[in-house]
Amino acid sequence: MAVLRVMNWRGDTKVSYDVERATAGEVEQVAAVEEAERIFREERARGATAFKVCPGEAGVRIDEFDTTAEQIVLVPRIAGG
Amino acid sequence: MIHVPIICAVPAVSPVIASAALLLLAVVVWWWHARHTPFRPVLDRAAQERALLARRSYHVRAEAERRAEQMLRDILGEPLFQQFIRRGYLEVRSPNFPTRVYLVPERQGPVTVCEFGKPVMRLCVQCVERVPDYDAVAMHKLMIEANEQEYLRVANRV
Repeated sequence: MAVLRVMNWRGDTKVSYDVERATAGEVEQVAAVEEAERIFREERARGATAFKVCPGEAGVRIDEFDTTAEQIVLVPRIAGG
Repeated sequence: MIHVPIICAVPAVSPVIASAALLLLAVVVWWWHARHTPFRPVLDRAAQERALLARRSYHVRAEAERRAEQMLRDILGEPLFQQFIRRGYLEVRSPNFPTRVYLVPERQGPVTVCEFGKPVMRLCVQCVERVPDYDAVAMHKLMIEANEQEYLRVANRV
């Protein structure tokens, strides 16, 4: 089970999906993966940076939706304070 | 009204005791009602709406902080998260400069940059969207570890 997290003022919005079950043809999971990809593209278009994250390890920046990632975090655009 | 004759019908209970019991019951009911009805001062409609918004806003913020804390826990892992809570800041090692460490504060604010263990500058970077404090910590960690050049390009020295 993978998860896409989008940081926002509500903490984060989470979308969970299972790529294996989606590959096996489960309609609900196919829709979940598509929804996660759509959110990923939208947020990237708004200037967000995406990271593939594993607990306790350094994050890896990604530019494309990675179906192998266990957890993807989308950070909103940053600016100097 | 119905209970009085029933109580009085019991030969062992005198009317005085029954009356006292009723009085006690009335006091208990009054106390129960007073305890479970919150005190609401008379406010005008605008003030009532402001109070409602403030309460909702508090709950939304608290929920946002809780979610952000959970996400930071998931990103850091439990041991590192506990260390972060104890210290009040997160230590992030620079992937490009071996002698450099970034100290990210628990609350949103400038990040201290240390070289050879000594603070050399403070950087101010924030999300353009308002995010909870723990989300900001996660943002600093992810940006420094995976996108340090961009982080330094955007940052303002303070």
